Amino acid sequence: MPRHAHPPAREAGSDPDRSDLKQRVDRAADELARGVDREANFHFLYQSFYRPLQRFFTFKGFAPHDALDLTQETFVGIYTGMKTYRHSGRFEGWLYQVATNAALKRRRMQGTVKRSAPEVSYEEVQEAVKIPAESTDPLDTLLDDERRETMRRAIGELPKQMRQCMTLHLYQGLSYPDIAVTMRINVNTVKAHMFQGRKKLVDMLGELALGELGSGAAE
Amino acid sequence: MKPLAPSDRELLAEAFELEARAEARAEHLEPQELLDYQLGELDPATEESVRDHLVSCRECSAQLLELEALTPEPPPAEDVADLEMVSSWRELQGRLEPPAESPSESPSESPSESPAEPPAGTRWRLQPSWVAAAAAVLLLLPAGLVMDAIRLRGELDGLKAQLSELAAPHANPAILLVDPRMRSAEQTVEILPEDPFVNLVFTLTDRRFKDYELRFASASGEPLSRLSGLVDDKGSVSVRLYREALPSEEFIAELIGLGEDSPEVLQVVRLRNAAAAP
Repeated sequence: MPRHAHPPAREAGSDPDRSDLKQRVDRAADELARGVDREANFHFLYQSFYRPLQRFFTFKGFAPHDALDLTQETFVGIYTGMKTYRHSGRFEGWLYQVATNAALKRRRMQGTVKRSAPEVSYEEVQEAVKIPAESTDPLDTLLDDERRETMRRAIGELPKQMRQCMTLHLYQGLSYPDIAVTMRINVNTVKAHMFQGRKKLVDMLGELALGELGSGAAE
Repeated sequence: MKPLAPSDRELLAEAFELEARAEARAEHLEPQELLDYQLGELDPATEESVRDHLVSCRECSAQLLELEALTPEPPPAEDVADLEMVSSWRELQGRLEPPAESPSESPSESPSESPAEPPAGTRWRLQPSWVAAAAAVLLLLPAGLVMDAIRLRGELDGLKAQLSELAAPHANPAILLVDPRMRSAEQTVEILPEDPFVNLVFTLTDRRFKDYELRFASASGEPLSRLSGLVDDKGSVSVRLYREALPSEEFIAELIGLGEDSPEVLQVVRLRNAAAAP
């Protein structure tokens, strides 16, 4: 399944100011919820999350003007719902819920509009997309099973972190910077794992893996 | 025709997936847990179990990357104006202003006049109050229509006046159309103190760029600030500039096209913030 583009990921844990900024954010949210210095605290949250929220909605597939509109809606939601905010977790967790709800609401509205699109018959779709039936040849099935088993054995011999990087790339289709964020490791480590892993698999699987893995990095 | 067998890559991806699932817990992760993971605040065992799950679960890894997008950014320094953010903040403040006091209830709306079931036998008889109401509606309807017509006429005159101002480059348009085919870059447009903002609409004669930005420079060409993230909307780029957030006195706004090659200056407009002039 193709995945939407994600933000250019930062290297995990590489920014010492990040934790400090997050603490300031939590403090501002807590004070805002208690009604302390409302305007200054809300403005601080607004400045800290204005661009991130736009990125968030853009990566969810919204057009720039919708992303801007949803960013405003999220801030309205934060301001009006702040009375119910309790400092039990991180502010971003709550912000994520408010933003996700705004996105879902907008999607539902857009879905209502989409339902009025012209109807296409099932036959027309079948004609346009010919889906090949799965092979029922017992020999093919046997060969596939054997290939699967060989691959699983080879994969099982890879070191865990290397195997996980390759899984995120091959199964989830993540880019190297996204893998770095997901694994909380440096992006150069990801590149090294991918290079070594590819080499090891080609050594172990030979021809079987050469077709897709022998040609170099696909970031 | 013989159906295609799955490619080696598909089989390999499947094998990796099975391996990952075998060592991961089944239940999904909560946003708070992901945030703690992001900051490295989990104990090693929990961190490993979260990582194992992320590798096997597209849903949770997508959520982690969305949370990564929500990482706060330090507020801009005071001497660097992010005009889009400033404009948006003003708009937001407008939306958050407390609603005007609702008009107090008319004294005639006493509980005794609440709709009650009329006694049997009188249900269909015309009540004097109904007759009065119907007469009032009949009298007020034409009056309302006349008032509407007067109001619409006034609005039309206002719009005509705005249109005539648009034609004059030195007048003060709330909407400023910037089209290189229609106006000269030498002309200076004034933003008068009574106008809280000006809408700049650049007509694009060259639409090969993906993104656009507006750069502000002083009259002598010294860079001041920039406004990025502008997009081509059906052949034009629109931006609302709040007067108070604009550079003082005379300045230049340049529309820049951002493509794969180096940025290109597409249009230049000279503006004068009349309120800031000595």
